[in-house]
Amino acid sequence: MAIPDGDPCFSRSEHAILRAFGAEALPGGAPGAPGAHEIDLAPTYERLFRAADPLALWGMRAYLRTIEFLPVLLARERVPFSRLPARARRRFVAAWDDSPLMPVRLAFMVLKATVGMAYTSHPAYAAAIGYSSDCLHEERPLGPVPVR
Amino acid sequence: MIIDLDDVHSDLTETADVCIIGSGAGGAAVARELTAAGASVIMLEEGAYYRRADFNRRLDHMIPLLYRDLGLTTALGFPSIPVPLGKTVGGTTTINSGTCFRAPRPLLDGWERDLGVAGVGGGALDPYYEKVEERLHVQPVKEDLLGKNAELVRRGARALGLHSEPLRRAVTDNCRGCGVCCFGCPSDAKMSVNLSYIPAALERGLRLFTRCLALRLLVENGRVAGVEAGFVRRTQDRPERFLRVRARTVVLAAGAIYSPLFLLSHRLGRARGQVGRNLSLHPCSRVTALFDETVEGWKGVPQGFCVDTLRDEGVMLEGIQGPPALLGPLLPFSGRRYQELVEAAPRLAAFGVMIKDSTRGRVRRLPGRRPLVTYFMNRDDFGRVLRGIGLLVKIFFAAGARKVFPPLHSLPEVSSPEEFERRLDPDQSPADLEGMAFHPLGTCRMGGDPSRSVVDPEGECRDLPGLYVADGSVLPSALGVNPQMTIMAVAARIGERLARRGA
Repeated sequence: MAIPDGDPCFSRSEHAILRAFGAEALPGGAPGAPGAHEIDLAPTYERLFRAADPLALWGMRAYLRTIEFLPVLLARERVPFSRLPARARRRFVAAWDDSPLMPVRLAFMVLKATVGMAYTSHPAYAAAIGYSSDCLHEERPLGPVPVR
Repeated sequence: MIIDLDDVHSDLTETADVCIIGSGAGGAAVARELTAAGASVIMLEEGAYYRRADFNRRLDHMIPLLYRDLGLTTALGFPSIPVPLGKTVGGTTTINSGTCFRAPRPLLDGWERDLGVAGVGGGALDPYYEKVEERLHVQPVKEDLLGKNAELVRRGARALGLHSEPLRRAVTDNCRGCGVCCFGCPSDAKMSVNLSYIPAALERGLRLFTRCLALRLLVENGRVAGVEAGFVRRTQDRPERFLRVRARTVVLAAGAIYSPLFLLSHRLGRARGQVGRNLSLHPCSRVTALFDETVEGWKGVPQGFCVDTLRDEGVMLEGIQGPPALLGPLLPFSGRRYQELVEAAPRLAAFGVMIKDSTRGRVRRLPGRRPLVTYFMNRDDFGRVLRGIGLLVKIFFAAGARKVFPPLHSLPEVSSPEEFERRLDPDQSPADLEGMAFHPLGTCRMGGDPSRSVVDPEGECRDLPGLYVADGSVLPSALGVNPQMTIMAVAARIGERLARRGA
């Protein structure tokens, strides 16, 4: 189940699914703020899951594949999620987010949290909102750790 | 002495008086008491030992290193509730907010009187609390570290005549308000046990094995005889080397999810059926608000302030902010509306609701040492959460918010407190709530009645002499306040008594 060193965690098609979801969840629009599909989030996904427990990675990959083929069963267009036309994909994502069924929404939240975290961790987003990771009082010198 | 997976080139056999499984709040407190008394102690920790230099303030770097399953451990139910857990030296204290409370005295008295937990009522736990407070440098958050998020909540609370105050935290004067307490303190200011108790125990001879997973108990003649463990790399699933620890006493301190799992995997406690039951979580949620003014809620202590007006009703309002990478994933909506909110991050404030729950969940064992956690929030608890959310909506509007975003699927945005009251469905389902929880407790509860408890008041497992449990799982009920200090005080008491018996 573990990924050999040097191999990517996600396949190209799995990254395509993440990119397609990102394009709908975070489409961009405001001046200076890129959409999730306009910045390269693949290294962040790889970093997150490279260090994660093997089961978390396995679960995410199985989950992405399920998402990919759900529209084949449920949507009018009968094509995989990453190849849905933009309007159909938007409709699919909106219905998913707004589902009256809590487990369906929970599944949505997992993917949204993953993509949302990758996006809001990206330097391009930080630059767009003026975020710096400096402390409130960065200038204060640090003393020794007083173990009592 | 610290022995990491990378230091080990063959299988090992070690001997100690006591072997402790887990290095979080409970395990560290026991280790400190035992090593101070001169006992030889081995501690096994599944995660690695990270230090200040490793904590780079990037959530996407730190979460995979410090959190179990990327922080997505979930209690399944309606609603399903993520319960992030630490997997590193220091356990969840390394990734919590460092907030410190003593348990309410009447609650401890009730444990002694009603549940037979001798030695915790009537102020008997006070000396242990005092020691923990001194060692963790517990003090109120200083005004200049509270940040704008807390300032807004204080403004709203004052306008409504509600009591609010800075929280007490385990922190030294090194705190600079970096806002990333939950992702490894980059200033070595938060006194998580990896910085306080464990270094002190290491100085007194503790042998700490890291990236070392306890696999099974060794049992001889009906009593515990040690532990067999495996050194496991995080990204692998099979041990690379094995460690056999011979010890007449074993202390299980793997937390309220993994301690019962370990007992269940050894078929302990099954006859009474109590192991894994009685799970309380202190369910939480967060309310976000959009202001016209700049908030930059990531500057300052994320959990530095509270509104405790409803504390007697089991509802606490506590700060919960952090960097945008924490805020972003939890905002409502998707598509353009989500994008707008994400871009408005500098003007967003957020505050948390936490309740003392009466719901009880359960931990079961799945194949492959995985837990199945279930928790179905009852209507009383959901009502308490809604009461807290309603109060926060009022506080934020009183502070000047333009819009408020309650964590309810059917009511994701309101423009006034009246709109919240008007649109809130009296039959609202708990499944509508977007919640989290950070304080799993009670799954190996302590008590005087063998038919209703997993461990006795000394912490010893009723089914296996020599095996003790000392973590949040032994606390018999929800506290209503952050439990770290109570876990440590109870664990210190267990450790002290073990030392007295010459463990």
